[in-house]
Amino acid sequence: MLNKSRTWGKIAIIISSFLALALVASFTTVRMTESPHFCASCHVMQPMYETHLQSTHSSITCNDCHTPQDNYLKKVAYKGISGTWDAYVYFTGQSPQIFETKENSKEIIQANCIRCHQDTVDAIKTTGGKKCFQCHRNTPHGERSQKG
Amino acid sequence: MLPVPPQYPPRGKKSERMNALNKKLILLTLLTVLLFAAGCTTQGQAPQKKLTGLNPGEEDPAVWGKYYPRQYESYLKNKEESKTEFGGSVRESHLDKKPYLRVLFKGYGFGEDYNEERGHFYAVTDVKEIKRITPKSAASCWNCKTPTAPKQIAKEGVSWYKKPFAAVTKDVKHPITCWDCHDPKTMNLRVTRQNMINAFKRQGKDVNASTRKEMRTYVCAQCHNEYYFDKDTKEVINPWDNGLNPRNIVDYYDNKKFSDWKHPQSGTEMLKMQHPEYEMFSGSVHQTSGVACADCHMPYVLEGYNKYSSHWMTSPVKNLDVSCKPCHRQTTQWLKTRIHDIQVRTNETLDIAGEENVRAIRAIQTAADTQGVDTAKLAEARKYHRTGQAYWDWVSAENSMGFHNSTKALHTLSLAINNARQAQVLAAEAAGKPLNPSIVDIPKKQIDQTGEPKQPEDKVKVPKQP
Repeated sequence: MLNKSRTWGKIAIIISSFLALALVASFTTVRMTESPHFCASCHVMQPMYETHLQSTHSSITCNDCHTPQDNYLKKVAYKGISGTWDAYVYFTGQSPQIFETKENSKEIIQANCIRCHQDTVDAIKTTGGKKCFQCHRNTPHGERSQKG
Repeated sequence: MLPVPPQYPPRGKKSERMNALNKKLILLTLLTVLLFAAGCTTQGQAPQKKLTGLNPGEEDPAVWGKYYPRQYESYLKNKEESKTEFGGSVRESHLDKKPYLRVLFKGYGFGEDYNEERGHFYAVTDVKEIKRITPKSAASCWNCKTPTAPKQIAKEGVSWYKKPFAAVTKDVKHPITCWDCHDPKTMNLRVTRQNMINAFKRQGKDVNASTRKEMRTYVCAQCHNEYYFDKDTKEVINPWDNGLNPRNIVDYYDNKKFSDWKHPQSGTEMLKMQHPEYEMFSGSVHQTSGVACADCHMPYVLEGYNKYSSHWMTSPVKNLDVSCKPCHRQTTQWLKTRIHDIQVRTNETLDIAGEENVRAIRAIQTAADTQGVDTAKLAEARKYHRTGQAYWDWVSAENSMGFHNSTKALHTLSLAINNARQAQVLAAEAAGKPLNPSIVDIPKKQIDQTGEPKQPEDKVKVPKQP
């Protein structure tokens, strides 16, 4: 009896410490891969990186705008899919000349604008009309063309 | 043995002392956290009061203002009267600034009294004071000035329009207010003017089912449009069935054989165009880029950290910083120069077109007084005058001096000048004194590479591309 519980105890410790390590590793990976420095390791992101650095939003990371922040699992899942796709496109040399935001990405960005600036836009309607960045076109990636 | 005095504070067991210390630490931590929390509450205004339900017919903006004080305060700014280079909100006479208007509008109310408009706040005052309103005026003239109009139309139907203007005056309480554009229950934008609802219905669309982006244009467009009164019922109708371009609208009127008045000097059946801002703006670079009326004329403004729509509906030139600069990051001076460039050129072209139409009137009048005038040619000349002056008026009555759609404005004015010239030429021909034979009637194919008109027998030789 005593031996069995001891063994279970040992297994429990091993599993939990492994889990803890895995969690820490994944959190760290997520953190490391959301920094502007990491995103700009692909040189096609250089203009976005530089404009971001010089903007009022330089204190937040790329993920703070470009990934869903309402749910951690959602964010990680989106990061994984989107990041993998980006890497595939980049490494196969298919990066477009002009980077345009995808439709689902526009929704994510809009939700993040509102998430931080909730108090500012409390008195106006933020749905059904234009997205924030359709007027605020320079935030934070500087002068760029934006379709209506 | 002397009694040992008790030590103060009493030194209990170690565990008890630790408990006491822990409690103090916990309290201190709690206090610190509370202080931080208090400091971290949001700065800026308190959030807006939740709407608890206005009366469905509430017109008084002061009542709406209790729920939306910031919007109400900005709405009150519509009282202000100040000029811009080509417009503004000061009630000055157009007829004094451009005297040729008196000739163009002779025999019609606009030739007697025609002023620069003021803000929405003055809608009722100004319609009561303008001399174009006479005992013969219909209730239709109230349509766009007060919420009373759509409310009474909803009750009385088409028969309302024919009532005399004065019959409605006693029921009018407010000028353009919140009710005209917002649903009192939900605050959603909605079109209240029957003329626009009907115009959309005729095209199989429900205007009030539009997206919010579209509504931010439509609630303005419901009044800032070209319209006419049906000859029999006096119903307010938008002539949009063929399209929104000036050519479409003139065609509409021509097909209906409609005219607003007969010019006493030229005898032309005339068309009056009224403030076609919606039609002019449609198809412009801004409109097709997704900009709505409210984006420039009711821009978002910041009060502290709170954004709200300014309800001071005025020239965006008066608040360039919030109207233009969110999208256009050039300097204020650069932007003002762009606006000025467009407007000053449109104004000059407008005056040229206006004066050409005055010449057309004089040419037709002179011809009509000539013995043995060719009446058929004269009738044709009058048609060109009707069209030419309608195109001129399209830009004259529109309130942006070309800015809403500079391409369309200048194109329309070029058509106005062309038509007015044709009228002059034909009138002169009708009177037997052709202006210049080589100008008249040049078929397009007969002009060669040098641009000189050729004789009808010669064939045009087009050189091969190198």
